[in-house]
Amino acid sequence: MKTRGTRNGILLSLDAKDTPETVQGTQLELLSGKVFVELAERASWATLKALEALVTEAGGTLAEVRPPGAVVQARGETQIVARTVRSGGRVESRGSAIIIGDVNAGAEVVAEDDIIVLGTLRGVAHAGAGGNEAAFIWAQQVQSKQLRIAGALAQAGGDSKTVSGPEVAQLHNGQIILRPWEH
Amino acid sequence: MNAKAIVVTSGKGGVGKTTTTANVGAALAQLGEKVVVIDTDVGLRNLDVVMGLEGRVVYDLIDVFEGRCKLKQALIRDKRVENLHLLAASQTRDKSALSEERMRETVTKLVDEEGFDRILIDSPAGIESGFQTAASAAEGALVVVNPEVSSVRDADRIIGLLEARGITEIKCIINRLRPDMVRRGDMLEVDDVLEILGIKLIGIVPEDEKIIVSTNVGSPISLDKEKSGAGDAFRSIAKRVQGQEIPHSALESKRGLMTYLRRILGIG
Repeated sequence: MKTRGTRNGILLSLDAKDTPETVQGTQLELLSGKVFVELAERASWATLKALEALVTEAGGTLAEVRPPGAVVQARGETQIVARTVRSGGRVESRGSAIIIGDVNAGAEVVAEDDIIVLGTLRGVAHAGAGGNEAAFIWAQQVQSKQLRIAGALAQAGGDSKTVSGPEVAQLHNGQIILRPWEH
Repeated sequence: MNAKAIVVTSGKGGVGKTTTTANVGAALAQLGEKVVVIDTDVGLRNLDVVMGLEGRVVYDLIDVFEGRCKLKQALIRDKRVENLHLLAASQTRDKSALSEERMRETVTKLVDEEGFDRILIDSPAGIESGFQTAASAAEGALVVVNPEVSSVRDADRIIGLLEARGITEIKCIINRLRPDMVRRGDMLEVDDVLEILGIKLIGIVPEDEKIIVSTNVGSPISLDKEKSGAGDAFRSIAKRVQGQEIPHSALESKRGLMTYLRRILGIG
């Protein structure tokens, strides 16, 4: 972890090597004011929570948590979102996207590779957004009105029956086919 | 609910935010809490009308924000119930007069200096500055939703915005439910709504003609001694806000338990 003083307060940069244990060593005096945290790409949630507890203990405030600043997600890297993506929310990934939660109607998930939803997919999913025609969309339940894979588009019909159970959508001869998923 | 300052919001307009604020506020006051209801719908104020206090508004929230009066002067005491107060919105200004900072200051003062137990903040429809200001001072939220697709969609958006603000105590009120329509399959079921929104239910309010009457005469139905579906529902919600365990009425479908089981088992 790097510590820097800025005009507005203390700026901490967490990196991949930080663990809840390593942040414990931070001097409490440093954390008693406004604290800004910059997350490196692989900083863990547990580490951030530990740091937050420390700041509270020191009587300071966690003014802002910034995502990795100018760091662009590397091509092919999987993005994991551990919450429900609600209406108005948008997840973009330069690789695959895994959503642990639902994707509600009015939300969008756009990934250059596969999209996996460990929940119900009700919003728009666009897999293979860069043109990857081998990309697939998998969800525990698909209730979307629209799916996209690479350049292809599938719209749900008026009275489409919903299959209970996981389904997977893939391209076959330029058409999106949605079928029940069998292991 | 642990939250003292609770925003009543919905995203979509016309689902019953103001009616809910007035009725839950009145019911909480009747239960003995010192309550203030705040109207943040500057320019389209309604809460004073619904509560029958229109004629008594002298100073409003914007007067407080801009220092033209003391906070105490703007608090209108309801004469029907002890401990019920209204802080009205300004009708002649617009949302640009709102300020998140002033809002937080005002709410802090209401708790620390005026000793209020509960502050219900009636939010305007939409996701813009009016809603943002209303939410800025809240620690908890009551999200009012009608059992219809567009209302659920907007509520979902609102919940996302509330979560982004760090508000975690978010409860759902399903308003204007028509049991006959649900039985016929013409209206979304309670379980469907809750499954999409993923938040806890705090009450179901049936569609009730008496609400329209009570709104027009400016007397919250929850203060009416007479039995009514909506009045009972609002009184139950107030008790649940206080933390009492009141079973939900039979309006919930029988599917409830199975859906719940399926959800915790992660199938379907």
